[in-house]
Amino acid sequence: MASPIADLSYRSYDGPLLPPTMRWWVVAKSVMRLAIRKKGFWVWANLSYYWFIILAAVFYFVDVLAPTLPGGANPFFSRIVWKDQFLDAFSIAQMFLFIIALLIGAGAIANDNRSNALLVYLSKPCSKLDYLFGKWMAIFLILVAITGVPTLLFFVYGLLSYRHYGFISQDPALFWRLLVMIPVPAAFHASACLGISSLFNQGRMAGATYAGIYFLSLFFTKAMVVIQIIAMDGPRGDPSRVPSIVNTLFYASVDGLQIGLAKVILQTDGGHLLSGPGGPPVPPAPNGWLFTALYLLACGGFLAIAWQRVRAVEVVRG
Amino acid sequence: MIRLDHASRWYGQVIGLNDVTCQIGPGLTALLGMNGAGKTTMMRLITGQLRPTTGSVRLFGLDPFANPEVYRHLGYCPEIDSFYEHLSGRQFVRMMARLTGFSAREAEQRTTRTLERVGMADRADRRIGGYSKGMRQRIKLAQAMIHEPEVILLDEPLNGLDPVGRRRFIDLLGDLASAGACIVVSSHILYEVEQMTRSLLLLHRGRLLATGDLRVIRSLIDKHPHQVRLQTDEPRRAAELLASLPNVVSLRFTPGDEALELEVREPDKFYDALPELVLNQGLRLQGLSSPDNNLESVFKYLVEA
Repeated sequence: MASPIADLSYRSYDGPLLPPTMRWWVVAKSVMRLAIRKKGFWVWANLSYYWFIILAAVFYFVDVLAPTLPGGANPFFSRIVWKDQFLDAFSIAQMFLFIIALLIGAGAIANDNRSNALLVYLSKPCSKLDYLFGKWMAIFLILVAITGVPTLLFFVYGLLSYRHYGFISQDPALFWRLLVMIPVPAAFHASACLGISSLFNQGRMAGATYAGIYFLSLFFTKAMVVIQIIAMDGPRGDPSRVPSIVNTLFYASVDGLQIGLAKVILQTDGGHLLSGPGGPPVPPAPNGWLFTALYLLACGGFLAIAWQRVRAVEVVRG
Repeated sequence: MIRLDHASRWYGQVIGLNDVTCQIGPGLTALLGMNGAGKTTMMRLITGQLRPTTGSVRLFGLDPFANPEVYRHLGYCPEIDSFYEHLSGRQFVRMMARLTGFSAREAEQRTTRTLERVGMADRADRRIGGYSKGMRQRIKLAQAMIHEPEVILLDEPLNGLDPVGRRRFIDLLGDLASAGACIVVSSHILYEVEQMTRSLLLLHRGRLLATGDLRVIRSLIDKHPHQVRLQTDEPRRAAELLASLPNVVSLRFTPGDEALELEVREPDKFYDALPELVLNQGLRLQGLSSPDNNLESVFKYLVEA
């Protein structure tokens, strides 16, 4: 028979807890752990810096094999604009960054919606802000690492090997510009992934939607290239004949927005190292203020969608 | 600990919970009702995942809606169990412990301890994707009790458990409740609830039909006299003697004259008078039971009313 005196031995925990500011890190770690377990992630992450490998190989062989002018100057290196090489590699990596973002970010919230994990997450002492910030930081940090590591390694390689060809003297602030440029795609993709992912209950649907936006906007960019060539009267024509609106609309895509901003940060219009004259036209850098505002607006918009959509319980509205 | 004051929740044109006022304190309380009665809505209001359309919900005097301060003292075990299939049970529970705010070492220790307590220590390193329904239920309970909250809410926790697992689960909840935790269990399966507790909150179509101890609720249902079944080898003599008692409303012989079924009002008075009658008149009784003094009957009477 039970004792008439109540057993009040149950004690709830009143010991120390991590500060609330650290809760996001638990969320972020779980996303990152899941990401690095995917084979596809490593494949695409390694492909994303292939242009740096090509550049390093070209530079090495030109340095070793090509003849030099009297005085030790190599005409190939004398023509190189170093920050354009970073811009090229950055531009080429965009597609891979997008694919990686899809892999790790498309299901970030959608999968939680599907499995109702939000019910559990948001019944812990973890706020919606912790949850969203954790998810955002996970995607952001991974993409920053994928963009940043090869960029900075190439910078070190250039610094050690090509200082006498103006690697630093062309733009003494190059390192700092690169540091500002590296997080640009990471922040954009992290925001876009969260915003789109929060709209769906399946990661695949979120991924397909983001891919649709990406490729449709890319198609638009390609259409602008065609218009540019027509306006220039052929690829070797006069770039000044291209209407400025066409040059601006060239950047009206997921990649374009980031490449445009990278041009603004690096303060260059860009140029192709290997294609030479007759290659695709290179639109000038866009208006910096306009593109910074558009970039922030896009990121903020996606995050606002995620903020609005993330809730533990789906509420039917009448 | 938990207080609802005229709380209502509408989903568009549909009402999920209608003007519910109640208090829930320490011990095990069952939230009972048919599918769609409003149990999950009430759970979600208490866990702060929904805000009441009108009225108020308070936990420890605080509004629980999106309030992490309240969640420190709350453990929630939702009905849905498809969490992160790629994680092992241990990883999932540890992650929830970390999310609660424990240090890595504390989280590890608590995870091990809690998994042992819910009987999952030996299977905790397998992926959740390969777990049975019962194992998932235990993992969910583990994450809900990892931080020793003052209030634990469990939405249909016995779904999918085998009889042995069910017994262990009920015993575990009983231990927690008898030690002073406030445990609220929602269920629509009457016999499960009956095994767990006699303290009820009975919901029907969003309204609170009854609250309190099952026996007290039953005794207050005047419309239906209590049924008493007496097993005796002399039913006719028993009928003659019992008919004289003032609270007996009707008498009926069962087929084969094996037992006598009575309907009585004020059963306490009847049970007080019965021993005297048996002793004085030498009436031989083999058994005594009250077929409708159970949850199913109470539920049926209240819902039909």
